[in-house]
Amino acid sequence: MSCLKPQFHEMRVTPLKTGTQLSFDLLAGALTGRDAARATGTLHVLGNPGGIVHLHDGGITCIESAGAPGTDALLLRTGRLSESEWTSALTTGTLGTLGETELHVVTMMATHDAAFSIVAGDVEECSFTPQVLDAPVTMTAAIDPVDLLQETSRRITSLQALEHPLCPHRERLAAARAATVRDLGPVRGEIVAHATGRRTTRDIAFAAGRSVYPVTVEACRMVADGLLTVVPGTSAVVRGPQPAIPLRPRRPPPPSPVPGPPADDDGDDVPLPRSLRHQLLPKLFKQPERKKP
Amino acid sequence: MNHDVLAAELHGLRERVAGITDTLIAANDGVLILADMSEGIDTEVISALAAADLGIARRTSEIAGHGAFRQAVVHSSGGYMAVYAVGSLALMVVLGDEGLNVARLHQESQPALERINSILSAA
Repeated sequence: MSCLKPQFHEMRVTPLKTGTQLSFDLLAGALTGRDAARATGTLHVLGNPGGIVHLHDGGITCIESAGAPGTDALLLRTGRLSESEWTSALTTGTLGTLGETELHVVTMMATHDAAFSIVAGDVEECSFTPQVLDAPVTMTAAIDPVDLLQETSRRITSLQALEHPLCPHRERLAAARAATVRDLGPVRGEIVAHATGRRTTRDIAFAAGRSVYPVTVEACRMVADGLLTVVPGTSAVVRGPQPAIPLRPRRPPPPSPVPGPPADDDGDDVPLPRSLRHQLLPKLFKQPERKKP
Repeated sequence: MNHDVLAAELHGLRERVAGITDTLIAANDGVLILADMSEGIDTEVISALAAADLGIARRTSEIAGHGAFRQAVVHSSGGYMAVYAVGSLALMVVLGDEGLNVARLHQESQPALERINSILSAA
């Protein structure tokens, strides 16, 4: 477990070191192990957030993770690309106003960020399959796994070296009273605007369309500066009426004391009193009335 | 019915699955029971829509002959809404951002749904 559970008092900051090292070792072992060496396929990283590493000839072409915005989220949330442009980019391969190099760079950013996010969370297991899965966008030039691991290690170390390191998946942040969006720069202002007390730095990054690592680092500094506070663990905002009676199935109706006489119209289940059926139905549907023997 | 235990279940699910932003429990007719939602989201409207969604989804899987209903997922460019049946009397709504791992959500939600069902039916 990389992120210890937060304690229930203000400004408690989680030590990242121990568990994150385990997550890093598991990912590093899988990426540099025998299975993934010069392999083409998919490395499934199970955990929270976990992720998928797309490999081609041993190089990483893309990493997707629930813990970090992908290329599409980075481009769409910032308004760099419109919905229709993205849809046509996926279907026809035309990029509109976006250049191929720019797409490559954004995908590389997203890939590094996903690796950081996976390692900052919990990794339970890594398993490689030679099956190639579809990725929305892949890089034109693959990243060497060792380079990616070095960069990820550098990011984790930098985060740990900060005064108040935050886990991007655990600590939920709220703006301190002193913080006003107007007085802060664009990045800090955006973080304060999205820090509702329910969001982690990962959630803030998604809401702002920014990468998780820079948002987390900036949020750590803002905690140190007293602009953000860490919200205690059980912060579920519970709303709704409080019914006193528990939900139960409706009781079956009491059995009628005298069973009714058997139907005399061949099981006709029209919900009308029997006295009316013979009067109304022939008129409504122009059916000839059945003759009784 | 213990609301604190119910709230803890919703909160626990949000903690365990990255990308969940809001959760809610309502009766099958759309009447809200409990919500763990951000300000600015109309919980009553979401409950009512989810009840309609669940009804249509159940009927669709029945008509298509796809067996027992599991969940209904609405996938948009900016996020997800998943509706689960809680027993035969209630439903759970999970809202998530575009990063939500739906497979993990399904996996984590099953034991939570069973516990929520037993809390809701307890005296």
